[in-house]
Amino acid sequence: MIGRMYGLAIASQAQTAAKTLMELASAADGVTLIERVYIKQTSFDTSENLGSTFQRITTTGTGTATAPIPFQVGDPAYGATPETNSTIEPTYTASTNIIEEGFNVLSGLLWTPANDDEVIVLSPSALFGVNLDVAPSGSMNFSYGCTLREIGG
Amino acid sequence: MRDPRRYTMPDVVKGKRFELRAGEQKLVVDHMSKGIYPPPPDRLRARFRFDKAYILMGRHQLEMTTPVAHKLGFALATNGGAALYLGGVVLFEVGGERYSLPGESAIQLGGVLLKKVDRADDWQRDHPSRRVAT
Repeated sequence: MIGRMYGLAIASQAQTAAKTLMELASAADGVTLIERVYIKQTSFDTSENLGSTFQRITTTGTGTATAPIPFQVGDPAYGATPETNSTIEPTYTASTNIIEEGFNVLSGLLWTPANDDEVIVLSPSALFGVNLDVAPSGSMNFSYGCTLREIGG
Repeated sequence: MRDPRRYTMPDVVKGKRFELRAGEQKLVVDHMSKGIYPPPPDRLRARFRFDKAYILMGRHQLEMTTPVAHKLGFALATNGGAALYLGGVVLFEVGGERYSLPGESAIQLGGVLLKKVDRADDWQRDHPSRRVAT
């Protein structure tokens, strides 16, 4: 295996609006591969369709700094600081919407690359957003996260 | 006014020339801040087979050991980021053939090559007695 694996996970966080859930960042001296993204809902027991967009970011927004956790105990800290639960939306890069996926809140969303060619790649210092692009009908608790592979850094 | 504590992409992404020579052959990846983008005649694809990584260029293929492919993949992704956020194209030159890649293509090609290096690296660990790359 090359690179180091990290997990970023947020548990049962109340959401009421369409917003950026994760603003992923790559280290200034590293390349990051996004290997898994998931969004689950844990409090609302009625079917409701929502959507999520995965897109490159030009200018960072404001959110809660969240440190990804290394899968291997003893690995160094991840080289950048992703943000979660944005309070000020980032500026998304036009025409870089890589994934647009709908999901039922009862079953959630799980994205993994279908093959190696589909892996999402972040160049050094690049930013990437995963958002909830449809507002939920009411307050729902979402658990979400991703798996990152940092190479270099 | 921009908050100086928060960076924006163009401030930090820099390309870095990568050049590898073996005799008269050379492999170059560089960020060209100005340049035209002629679409390459062949699609560039990254693959792996056993312990080696490859870039397929139409009827040609570039075979690399994993350390070389790792450096090349990293250089493509890094210079691709510079081209994407600062403008320009990525120059990829191998054996006298020159390719101009738009930033996003270089990022993806570099990242996929790194993924293939990971696969070849796993193969090497699974087959220590058949390891060919040195």
